[in-house]
Amino acid sequence: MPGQPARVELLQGTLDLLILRTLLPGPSHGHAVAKHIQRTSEELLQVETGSLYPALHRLEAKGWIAASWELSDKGKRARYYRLTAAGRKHLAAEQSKWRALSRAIGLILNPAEQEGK
Amino acid sequence: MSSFFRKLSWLFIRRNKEAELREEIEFHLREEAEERTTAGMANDQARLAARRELGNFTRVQEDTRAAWTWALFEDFLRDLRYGFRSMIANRTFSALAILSLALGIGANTAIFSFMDSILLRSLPVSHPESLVSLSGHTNEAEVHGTDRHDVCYLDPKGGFHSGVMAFPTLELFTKNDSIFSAVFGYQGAGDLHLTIGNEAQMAATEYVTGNYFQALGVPPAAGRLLMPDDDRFGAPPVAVVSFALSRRFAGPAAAIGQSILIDRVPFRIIGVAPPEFFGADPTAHPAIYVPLHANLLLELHDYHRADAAFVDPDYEWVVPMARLQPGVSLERAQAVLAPQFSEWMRTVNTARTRTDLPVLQVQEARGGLDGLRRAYSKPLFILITLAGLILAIACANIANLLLARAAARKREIAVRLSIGAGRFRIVRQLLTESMMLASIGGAAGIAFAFWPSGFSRCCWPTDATISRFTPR
Repeated sequence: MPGQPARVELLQGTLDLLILRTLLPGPSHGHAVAKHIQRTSEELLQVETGSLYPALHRLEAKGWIAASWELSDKGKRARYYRLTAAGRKHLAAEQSKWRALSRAIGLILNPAEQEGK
Repeated sequence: MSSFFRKLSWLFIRRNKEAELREEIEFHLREEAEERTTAGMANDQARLAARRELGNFTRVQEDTRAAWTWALFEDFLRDLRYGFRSMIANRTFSALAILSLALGIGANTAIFSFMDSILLRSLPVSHPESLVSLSGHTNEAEVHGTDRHDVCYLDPKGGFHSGVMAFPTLELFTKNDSIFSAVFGYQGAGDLHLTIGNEAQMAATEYVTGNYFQALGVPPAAGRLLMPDDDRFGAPPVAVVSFALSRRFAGPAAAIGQSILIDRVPFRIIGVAPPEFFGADPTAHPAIYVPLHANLLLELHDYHRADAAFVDPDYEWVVPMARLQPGVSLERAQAVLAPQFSEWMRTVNTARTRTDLPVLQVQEARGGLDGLRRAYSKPLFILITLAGLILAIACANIANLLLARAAARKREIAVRLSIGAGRFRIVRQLLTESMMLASIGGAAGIAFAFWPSGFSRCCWPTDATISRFTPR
C-alpha cells in the first residue's frame, strides 16, 4: 500500500511477549492490543488478526492472562484481557531473556557493521 | 488452577466458548470498520476491508480452538466417532474382521492358558523350587502295587519309570534329614461316594500323609489342615475339603466340624484347602483329602491288605515327594540317597527279580508331578503351533479385507486430501479404525476364551480333569 512504511515480520514467539507487555498497564480488548502494538512500533509491526486471537486464547489457557466481558468506552460488550500474577512473573522473565538475547546479537552484529563501513 | 484443569473445564462449556469467540471477532470487525469510516471510508467498504483484513474466519476459529483443548485428543475422539460410523456402515466387513480375530485370539488364549496351567506354572505352594519327586527306574514295565495317579509309565529314554514306592521307603528317606527337610507322599483314592446331609455325589478323594500340607507350605482357607497326628492307626476319621467343595456348605467357615459320609464311612471336616490349591499332581484336583491311614476304613472290604500296606516293602503304592534342605542340590541328594535306596531294596524287597530292582531318581518337582504333563505336552505344542498359524491366517485375512476396502475408499481419501486434510491426519484416521477393529476383536476373543463352557469343551473330551482348568 502506498505511503505505508515497510513492515517487519514478527519473530516466532515474540507475539506472546508483546501482548503481555501491552497488557501490563491495564486491561484491554483484542482490537486495542493489536492497535497499540502497531502504533507503539511506529507501524513497523502489524499483528494479524488470524494470529492475535489464537495467541490471546493460548495465553489464557496457560493462565498468564484472564478474560472477562466488560463494556468498552463506547458502551459495547467486549472481551477484556488482563495480566495475572503468573503472567506478570512470566513477562519479567521473558523480558530479561529478550534483553540478554538482543544484547548478544547486537554485540555480534555491530563490529561487522563497522567493518562494512 | 493449572493449565490442565482449565482446559478440562473448558471441555464442558465448549458451545459457550464458540459463541464467545464469534462475538469477540464481531466486536473486532466493528471496531476496525469504525476506525476506517472515521478515516473517511464509505460504510460498506470499511466493513468489507475489515473483513478482508481478518482473512479466513474458519481458520482463525480452528487455530483458537486448538488453544482450548488438546488437539490430538479431540482429533482422536472425532476419529473414533467416524470409525464407529463407518463400522456400522460396513457391517459385514466389520463382523467378519472381528469374528476372525476373536476366533484366532480366543483359540490361542484358551490353549495357552491350558498349557500354562499344565506345563509352565509352579505348584501354588511356598518355595516350589525346593520340591523334588522321588521315583524308581526299572528295566521291566511292571507295577508292583497301586498307581491311581498314572505315575508309572514307559520312560521315553528307555526302561520304565515307577512313581510309586512302598510305605517303609518314606521312613528311609525321612532318616536323611540333612538332605530333606520333609518327606511326604500321597495316592489317589479314586472317585468315592460322598454324602453331605442327604445329598450324594461322586468326589475325587486323595490319601495324603499327615505332613503333606505342612511340607507343601499350604495355609488353610478355614479350620486347620491335616497334621501328622491325624495320620496313624486309630486316629479319629477327619478330612480336609477343597475350597470348591466347601461351597456345598454355607461357605468355608460353615464347613468346619460338619460330618460327611465317604463311602458310607463318617468323617469330620476339620479344614478347607485354599482355592488355588489343586493337589501336588496338577491334574488331580481332589475334592477331599484324607490321611493315608484312612485307607484302613475305606478299603476294608475290597482290599484285604490295608494294614499290611504300611509295613510291606513289596507293596508299592505311595507317590513320594520331598523338600530339600536349603543349599542341598539335586545331584547331592541323588548321590547320597541312590546307594542307600538300592541297598535297602536289595535287603528287604522280595517281590522283584534281582535284575529288576529300581534305581532311585531324584527329580525337580516344582510344577507338581507330571502325569498330564507327559500325556499332553507334545499334542499341546502341536496345538499351540496350529493355533498360532490360525491366528496368522486370520491376520492375513483381515489385512486382505482392509486392502480391498482401502481400494474402495480411494475416492473418499482423495476428496479428503483435496479439501485440505493432511496425509498424516488421514493415516491416523485409518490407524484408529484398524485399532478399533483390533480391540473389539481382542475383547471378543478373550470373552470367548473365558466363556466357561466355551472353547475348552468344544475342543477336548469332557474329561473331568481337563474341563476344570481356568484360563489365566
